[in-house]
Amino acid sequence: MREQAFHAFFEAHHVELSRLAYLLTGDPTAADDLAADALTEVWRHWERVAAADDPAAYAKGIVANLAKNWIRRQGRSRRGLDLLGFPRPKPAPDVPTVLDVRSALRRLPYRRRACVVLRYAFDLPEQEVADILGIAVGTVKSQTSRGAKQLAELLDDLRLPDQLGGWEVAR
Amino acid sequence: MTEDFLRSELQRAGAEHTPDRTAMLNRMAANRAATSSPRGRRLRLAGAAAAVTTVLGLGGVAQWALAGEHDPAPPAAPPPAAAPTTTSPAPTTPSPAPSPTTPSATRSPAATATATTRPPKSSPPPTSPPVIPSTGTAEVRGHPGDTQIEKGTLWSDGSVVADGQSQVTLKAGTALTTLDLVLRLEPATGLTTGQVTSPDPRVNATLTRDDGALLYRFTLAKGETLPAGAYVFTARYNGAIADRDATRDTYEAFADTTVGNENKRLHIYGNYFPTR
Repeated sequence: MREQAFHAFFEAHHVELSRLAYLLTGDPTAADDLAADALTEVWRHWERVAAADDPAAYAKGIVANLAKNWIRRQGRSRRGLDLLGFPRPKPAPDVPTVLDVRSALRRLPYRRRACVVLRYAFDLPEQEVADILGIAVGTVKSQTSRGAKQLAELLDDLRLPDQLGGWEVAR
Repeated sequence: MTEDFLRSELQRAGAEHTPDRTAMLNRMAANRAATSSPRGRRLRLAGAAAAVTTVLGLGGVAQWALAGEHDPAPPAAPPPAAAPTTTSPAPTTPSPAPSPTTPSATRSPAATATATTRPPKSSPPPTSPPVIPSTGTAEVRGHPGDTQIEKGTLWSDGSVVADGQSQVTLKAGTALTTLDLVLRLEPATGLTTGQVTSPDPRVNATLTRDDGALLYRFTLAKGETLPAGAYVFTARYNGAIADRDATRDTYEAFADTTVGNENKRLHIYGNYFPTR
């Protein structure tokens, strides 16, 4: 029955949905909220979702969308604070302040980030990523490769500099 | 090798996060209470309050969140069950009712919008569940600012072509293997139902009245395929049609199509305002 089926779906997927939101937003609390909101949507359209080829992909698509909106809202409220004259720390340009994978991910433009996360963290085929994000397979390919390159560079910065005093890291 | 490195790093980063299952269930319960069908909203608020109390007391979160609440008359709320039958502001509703749901309502603007733009409905019909399971249409999408008129190979447009005649045009770039389109007229106050006819013999048309809204539903018969092309679906209605405000009328469609060898699930929704 509907509630049972949805319950099973929740148990099977809430962790990965929340982790997806976590990697996309970098915020653990927001991640749970966004995943819960996405699951509410799934519940609301359960008959149709269940009839879909891949209900989990459908749910991931909702998460990706909600995460994008969330990030946009964050940007807006930050700009709002700026306008009001509230000071906030700005990372100095040129200085790599990347501390971990999460903050490195946050440097990637959203679509690249989403492609990289779905391809690598979730090991999904290009076609499925395209379906989830509602973009063409070609776009997934190009965004993933750019994203992977950028991320690898950011992580290199993170990895090497300490031993070398942070300077002249050969790449 | 870079790929392997990224794969392991990203998977590790993802695994750092352990979701708070209870928090998620609570938020889902709050979402449901705040945004589900406007019918009996007060009842749901009260139900949510009662349930939260239960949860705090017993910790039966999962059972509650994942069972009962979808029922129009939640078993969790016997005392306020009388509330919706009175049109008064229901002083009997326990005052803590709004508090558990308010935070979530403020956090999700879409939810608040749907909730607040509706006038309070007085009494739900005694036989609440409509004949057609309209879970997908119970909550309203497609209001201005919340539309998705195009998805994949499917494009749509809605317009009020004349008093008493609203149309949705679907242009399918590829054949559709399923289609479920609902034209929703709300409020339907003073409207009398006209006929509903299908533009295609493979598509069944039905008309239902659901809590102050008229639902014109077009469903592709099982096993049939609707070839690529343009289709116009019309909702006709009579009665108080002069100067009727169509602001809150919406449509929503789910469809399947095949692109390459892949099945694509399409979901679109919109309204009857001129595009742009």
